[in-house]
Amino acid sequence: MVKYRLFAVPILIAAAFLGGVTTPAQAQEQAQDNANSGLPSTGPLSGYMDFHFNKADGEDGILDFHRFVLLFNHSFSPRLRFVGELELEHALVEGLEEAGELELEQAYIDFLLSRRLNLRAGMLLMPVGIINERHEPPVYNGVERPFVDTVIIPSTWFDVGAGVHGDLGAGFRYRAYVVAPLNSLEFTADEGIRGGVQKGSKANVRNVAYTGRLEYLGIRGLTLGASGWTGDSSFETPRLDTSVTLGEVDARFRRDRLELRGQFADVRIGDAARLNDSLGRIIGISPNIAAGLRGFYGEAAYRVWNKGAPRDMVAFVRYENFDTQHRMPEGFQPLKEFDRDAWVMGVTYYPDPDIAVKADYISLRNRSGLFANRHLLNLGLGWWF
Amino acid sequence: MTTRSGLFVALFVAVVVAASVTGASHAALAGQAAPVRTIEITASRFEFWPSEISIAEGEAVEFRITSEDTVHGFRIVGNGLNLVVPKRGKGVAVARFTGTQAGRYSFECNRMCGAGHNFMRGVLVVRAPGAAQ
Amino acid sequence: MRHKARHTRLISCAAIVWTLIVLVQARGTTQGSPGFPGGPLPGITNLEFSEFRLGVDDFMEVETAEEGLGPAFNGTSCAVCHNLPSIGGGGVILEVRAGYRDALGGADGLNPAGDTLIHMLSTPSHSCQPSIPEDANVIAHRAPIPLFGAGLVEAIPDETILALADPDDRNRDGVSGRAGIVVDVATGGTRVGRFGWKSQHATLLAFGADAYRNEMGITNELFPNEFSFGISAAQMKLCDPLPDPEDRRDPVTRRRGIDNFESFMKFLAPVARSHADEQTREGERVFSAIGCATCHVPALDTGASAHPAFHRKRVELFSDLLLHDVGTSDDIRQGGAAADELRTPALWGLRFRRPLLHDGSAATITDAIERHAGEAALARRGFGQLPAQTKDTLLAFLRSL
Repeated sequence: MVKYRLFAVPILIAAAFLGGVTTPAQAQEQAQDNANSGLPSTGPLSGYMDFHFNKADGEDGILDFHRFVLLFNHSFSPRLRFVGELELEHALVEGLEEAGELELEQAYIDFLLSRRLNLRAGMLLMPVGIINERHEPPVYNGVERPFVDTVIIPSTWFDVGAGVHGDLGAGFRYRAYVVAPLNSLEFTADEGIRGGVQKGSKANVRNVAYTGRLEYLGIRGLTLGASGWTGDSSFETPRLDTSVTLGEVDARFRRDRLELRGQFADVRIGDAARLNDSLGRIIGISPNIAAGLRGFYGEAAYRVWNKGAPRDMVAFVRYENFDTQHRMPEGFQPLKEFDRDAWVMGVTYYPDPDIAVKADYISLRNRSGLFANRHLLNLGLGWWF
Repeated sequence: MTTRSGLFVALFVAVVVAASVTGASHAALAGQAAPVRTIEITASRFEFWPSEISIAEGEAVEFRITSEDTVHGFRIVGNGLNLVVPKRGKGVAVARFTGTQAGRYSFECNRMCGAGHNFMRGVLVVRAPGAAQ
Repeated sequence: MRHKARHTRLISCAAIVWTLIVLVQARGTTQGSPGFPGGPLPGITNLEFSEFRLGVDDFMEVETAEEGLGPAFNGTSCAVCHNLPSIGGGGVILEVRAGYRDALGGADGLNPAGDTLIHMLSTPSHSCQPSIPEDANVIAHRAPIPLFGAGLVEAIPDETILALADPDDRNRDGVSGRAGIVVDVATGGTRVGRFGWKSQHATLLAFGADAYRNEMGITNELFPNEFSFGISAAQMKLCDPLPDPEDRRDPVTRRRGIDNFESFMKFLAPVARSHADEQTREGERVFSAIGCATCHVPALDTGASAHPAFHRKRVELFSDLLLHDVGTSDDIRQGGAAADELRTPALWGLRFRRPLLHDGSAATITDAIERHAGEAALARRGFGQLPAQTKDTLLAFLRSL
């Protein structure tokens, strides 16, 4: 017996030597081996997809392939990059509003000049809000995007423009673009400025809009952001002065198993009284557009299983408050059915970090007294590759 | 000594010699040789933490990069280091690196990870000898 | 350290710029523009405003056969006919009525129920289109009546209207207005009618429900039977598959379509005058002096109401809401009105109404005035005798309404 023990010791020592000692070249190879085991290699094509079941109480359930998005990327050189994003919503496009949409969400060239200053031009995502620039399915909780990021900030908000971005050091990053403006003719009481996005489709640039975001990432686990968007939106009604200004602040914090998010957004529409009047004469009834919209939310998410494992489950709860008739122009009354808040609670199960199986329950309330509160159940399957 | 124990000793010596010949300047045995500074980097959409790394010229460091979400990349521009960072829970990307020339180098994520992929960059500062940190 | 100072400055600049942008926007609360018709009454609650807008949406909603439209109808939504100058107004589409008039002056409808309406359209495949009987000797047209201010009109008490009635012309002024007494389908009570060319309705709920069934063929709880003249039972089965009543309660609001129409009309503000100056004030004096104001009474008051928007309000509608025979009759007997009688139309909003008279047969205000006869003969003669300048003053006043 003693013999075998003696025999084992040198073998173990030898193994320790060989295992622990490496050269840089070997290290790289080894790292590649670690990394490449079982991983698919991807080329210039990535994408994300969203598949949803939505059921509001009292209504039929809807099963919808909500998004099929392909991302293309190509490096002309280390400093010249192209990123494109093509999205198909609701599976098919028939030429009518009621069916899906095929949209070019991003298509830009980045000229990477220096850490502090880089140029970008093309179809850009507006740097406003948490969701607009971060909306791959595994990245946010809840089957649908937050309401605040739908009717206050019209995510996914993209349009043509050009601008600069960079990293200022000490944790500060920025982006600043000049982009196409909104079209006030499409503003509504229910969804605010959402309908006015031109989406870079023969966009009118009688005037331009300016948008920018400043982010602070200097503290580990914390991201703070502030952004704004301002532009005149009245190219269809030149005698009006319908300037739109959006301001937003947000924060994301993550430590261990807990993630917290918060966002506050405020939109102001100038000359809304005359806009309502003009549109009333065109469409026969005043659209009752507000002079101010406001929304905010706070979300807490807790990783129920151990972090680090490829499989994860996150439970979350979010409170949202959003009012697209928050401030009315002189002489107009608000439609209180659009003064809403919502409790969203649910889970996200990750069988793989790039696949999210989501379920949530939403209690959506409004202040009208005329429309009943709604309860929605959503299930979703989303993935990124 | 018996023949068998002699064989053990010979084997032991051979292994040690072989290991020393193939090994790097650092030994893994505890209590022996100079320690390697490990720099832990976390990659997530769309940032590296830390995003500013400072090492001395000639200092060898070991990058250990994990992802908090999807597969990322780690590439030091102009330096040949080019790793794939496996997705959360699927491993660590490890690489030894020695900054042989002083200067500022960009590192970036070189694997498409989402809409903000091009923002995911950082700077590696290789300090000249005697330079303040 | 230098980096940090520069960053701080940059951020401070950005914050200041952004704050300035926000402040510049904040100062801009614009004043409302002068009232274009179509908005709600001032002083209604937010809940009532939501009900009003729900009513507008329903008023404009295009109905289909699957929702109960048809078998025969005049329009696919209320707004098809009621859209000038804005939703809830009048229009140029005229509805068709047919009937019988005998030598003795008696008037009959097309069937024992007294129906006279002939629809212009029917649901595809147009196989349920009724036709006018070949022996009908009365064909009449009616223009859509603007609904602006209807809520205020509803709030005028029956007594106020009855007080103006003088069916036997006791005061010998040649005018013998008569109240149209109707049974209100909504409440079952006997009321003074004031809505419709023949004052056939007293409440907005019944008025809207009747129109929903008549003009669009959508039956409801107040009028649960289809209008079936000229349509056989077999055709009815083909063209009208939906069981009655077709107007259903909405699951989210728990309201019927007719409730929404009532809210819309009730809270719809009246048309304000375009302007008032010395000329229009003089014209208003002439209007009274020659006797127009006997029937086109300048204002009536609403009664006491718990609702501040309707409580003792002056309603400047220029009508006594009574039935008169002014020689423009359509030979149709309906509600409490005889064949030769028509309700005095309200003149508020006159500048937006063309053509004029119940059948749209007058092109100008002067044409309409010159068609007045019967009880209005005296006033008509007075108008004819006015010097040209006074006539212009009177017309300037009328055009300001």
